[in-house]
Amino acid sequence: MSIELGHFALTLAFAIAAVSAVLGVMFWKRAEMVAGWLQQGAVLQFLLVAASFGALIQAFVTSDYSLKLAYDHANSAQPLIYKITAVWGNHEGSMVLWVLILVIMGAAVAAFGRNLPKDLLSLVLSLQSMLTASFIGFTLFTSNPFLRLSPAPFEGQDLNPVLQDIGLAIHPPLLYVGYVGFSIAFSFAIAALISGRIDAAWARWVRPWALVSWCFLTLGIAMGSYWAYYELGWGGWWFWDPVENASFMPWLSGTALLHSALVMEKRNALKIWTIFLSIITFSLSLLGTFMVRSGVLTSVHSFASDPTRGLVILSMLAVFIGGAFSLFALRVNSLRAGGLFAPISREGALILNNLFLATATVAVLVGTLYPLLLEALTGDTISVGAPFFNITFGAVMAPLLVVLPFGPFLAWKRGDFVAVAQRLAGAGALALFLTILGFALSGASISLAPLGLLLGFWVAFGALAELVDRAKFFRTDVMTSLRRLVGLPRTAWATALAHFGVGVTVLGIVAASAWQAEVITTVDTGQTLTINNYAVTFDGKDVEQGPNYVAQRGHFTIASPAEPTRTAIAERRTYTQSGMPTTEADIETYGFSQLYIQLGEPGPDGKTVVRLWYKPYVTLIWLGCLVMAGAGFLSLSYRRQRVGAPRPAQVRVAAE
Amino acid sequence: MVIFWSLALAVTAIASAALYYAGAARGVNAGQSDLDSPERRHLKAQLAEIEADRAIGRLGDEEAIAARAELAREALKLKSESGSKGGVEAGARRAVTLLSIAATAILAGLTYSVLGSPDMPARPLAERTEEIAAEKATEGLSLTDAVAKIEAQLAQTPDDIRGWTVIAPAYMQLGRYADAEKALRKVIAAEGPTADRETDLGEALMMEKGGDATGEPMDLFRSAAVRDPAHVRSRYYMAGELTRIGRFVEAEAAWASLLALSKGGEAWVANAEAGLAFARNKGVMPTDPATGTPGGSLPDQSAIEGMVEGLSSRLDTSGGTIEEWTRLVRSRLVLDQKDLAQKAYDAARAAFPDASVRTELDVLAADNGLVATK
Repeated sequence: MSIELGHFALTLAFAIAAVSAVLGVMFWKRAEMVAGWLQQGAVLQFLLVAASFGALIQAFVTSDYSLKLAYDHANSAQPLIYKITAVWGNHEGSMVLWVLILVIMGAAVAAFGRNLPKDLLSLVLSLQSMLTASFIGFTLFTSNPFLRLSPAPFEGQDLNPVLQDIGLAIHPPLLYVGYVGFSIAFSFAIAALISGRIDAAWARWVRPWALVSWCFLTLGIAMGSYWAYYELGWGGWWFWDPVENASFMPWLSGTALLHSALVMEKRNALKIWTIFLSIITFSLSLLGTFMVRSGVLTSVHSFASDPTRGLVILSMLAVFIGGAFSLFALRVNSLRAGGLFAPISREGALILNNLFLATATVAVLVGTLYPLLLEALTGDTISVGAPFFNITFGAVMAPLLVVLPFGPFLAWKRGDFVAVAQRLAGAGALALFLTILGFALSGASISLAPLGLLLGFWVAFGALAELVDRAKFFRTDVMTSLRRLVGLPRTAWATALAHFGVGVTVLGIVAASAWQAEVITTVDTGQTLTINNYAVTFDGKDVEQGPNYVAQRGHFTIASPAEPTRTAIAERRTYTQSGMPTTEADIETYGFSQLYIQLGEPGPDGKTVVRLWYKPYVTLIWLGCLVMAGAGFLSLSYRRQRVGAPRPAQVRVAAE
Repeated sequence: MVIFWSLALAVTAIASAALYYAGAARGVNAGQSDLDSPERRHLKAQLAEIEADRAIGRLGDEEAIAARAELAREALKLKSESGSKGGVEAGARRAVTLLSIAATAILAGLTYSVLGSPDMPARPLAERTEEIAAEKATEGLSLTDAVAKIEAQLAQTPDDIRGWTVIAPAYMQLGRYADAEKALRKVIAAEGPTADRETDLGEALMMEKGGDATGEPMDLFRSAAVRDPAHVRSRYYMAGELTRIGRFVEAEAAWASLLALSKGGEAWVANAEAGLAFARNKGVMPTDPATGTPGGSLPDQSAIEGMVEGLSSRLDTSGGTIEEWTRLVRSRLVLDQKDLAQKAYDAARAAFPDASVRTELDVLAADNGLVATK
């Protein structure tokens, strides 16, 4: 019964969303007519979809295999946590999670949007409802999670073993909050285009949503990267896989959107950029959903491929993205122009930032879509590999990172580049010194790596330099500076921390890529391997019975010069129900660096294959992302009005 | 199905009421005048910010004046825009809301009736222990697997009495008497004693003590016999126990009263008659005095033989599971009836040609020198 009630709740939410969409579009000019309904409808959609999701969870947890979805993706021997996460470890369930987050966002707009103008609120809620209705409709009619089986089997198939990991509990929800959150910015942008209402107040309402989404997307991508790193068993943390790119593209354009919205809120400028980026970012989120869900890509993410689903998503994509851009083209001239500014100014720097990020997005987009389009048109399969992305993406990002520290130093409206360069000289010198030091100590051969290090240090110290400068360190006594530092607005801290995080991630990427060490060999029990000052001894193998798998466990002892000896266990598991193997690498963290031990197949001569990697400073990659997301949340906690004070000039310039 | 549709209707009704309240009944702009519109509030907040910035010197006087003038122009513009708006009739609002509610309910009902399966109940595994047991019987799911599955469910739902009821005889079959005792005690504690349940529990306790029914098992059999004046099994065990411990006078009476319950032809009658004769003869088998060291031909042995014969005839006539056949072969071997064991083994192989389900039986046969003839 609960399953069918959940099913009914989802259809009722679908109906409310569909009617809300129509109502809002028909009556937004007389918003008093429908605003109440739309707000209540958004809340009801949330309650109903939540109930429906709850019904799915209950069926999975109680091993109710009359639900086909549970039969296909769960097993009564699974630990409870994986019974729950199995709900979204498949196409149908993950669509319900997607919709759930969409309606949470809609309900949040309805709840927190009481201070929005009624017509804007009505349009936004109606557009959100349109998205909700489309996606519930897609879910119900092409991938219904509530299909039943009669007679009900007694035992379910298993969840893909790679997904039987705590990562599945965290990665998709984070990522979906990121993806779906940008729908709010999208709806606000469309509403602004329809109503012609776009000003600093609009930006103030949109920016928190974009910021929340961006923070979660950052965390989701970082989590996905770390999950792939520890679970797939070969120590890679980014593969330029189309699915990864699908999440990375909205992140790039979302980053640009954040910066644009900031300018718009503070200076009432960059309006067209902001609208454009809002549309682009959510379109890329939809495109990512299409690529992952349609089955055009085969990967661990595309749980099932079904051409019908692909076509339906593609047409939804065409309607939403095509409609949005047509509207943009029609209405863009009616937008009131924003504030004026000189090329060398904070606004100018942010436009440069947008251009670089947009170019990087296009580079990734081309590399991701080109093989798909080529295959669709000519049937040829080509693969665009990491070298393409590393070169094109690197070529765009490197100059951006070079100019990044300048941005926050430039004044609004008109800046003084030379003065800023002088103030950044200290950070530059420090970065250069540390790079030379690191290069000398590592003893590596001449390569691009030192330049990468220099860039990382430059961005990190350049970001901190802004705090140092604003606190007037070295220009007044230390105590005054410290007081000023503490007293700086949280936005200044957030900016500096976010940029610092970028630098940290760059350092991790450079170090882990350039100075990684690898040993792949067969070992006998008792044999010792040496990798970067670590002596790893293979102590033999045994077999352990898990709840729904059998594990071969390799035992290792690691001796390092600086730390006490550690023992490690790396596993190869075979899952009983599906017979699928997984590797559970052992990862030992030393400082910021990691030793990665993977147990391989048994060799023919009774020896065991062991793969060892030493990854210097690899954790910085994800720590940098955490810092970035943390900075985003810090900025979010600061809700004062943001007014960008222009630099005094000889000629008075009105803000319009 | 009726319950489902009533609940679905109730959900729809609640949602409709909430939508009606928000859409038509509640005033939307109550308490919000033009002077307090969101846009004006935003402008006021910006004005305050400009003043604050000027006070701490972040903003020059000239910029502050310019910015304030800009804000004032925005405010004027807002005022002229909002003045042109007309009100909305309450009647129109109500009509739109009611129409929308009707559209929503119809759309939801239609969609669900196309996609849904309103008559299908939920089937959580924990409530399906009986089915699992039946599955085991019909599809040859191994007894051990079935027990393990039911146990896993019972670990989550320890109050599922039906589960305990189903698992108890399975435990007895597997020889896990202590577990059977635990299961039966739970059943009796939850649902009260009956003659059958008390006898089952007594049997489990007796088997735990290797066939000794003194103490609690005997009390349980007595209680069962009192509870049901026509109860056979409890009386059978009582008579057997009295014979075993040598209280032949009482045993004779017990066997006699048991036989009085016979309608003729039951499998146990032959054993009961043998028991009666044995008790009358004060512990010596009357038909075969030569073997008769007292206690050498134990009456509970004859009781066991009777049960084995019963199992044998049932399996011969109506068939059974591979576990039951295995039990029969094992019993024959224990009773040192090797020929009969071989016969039972042959019959079992004929009944279960698939060797993969017979592993336990084949191992048992091979260990005891039985032959697998083609």
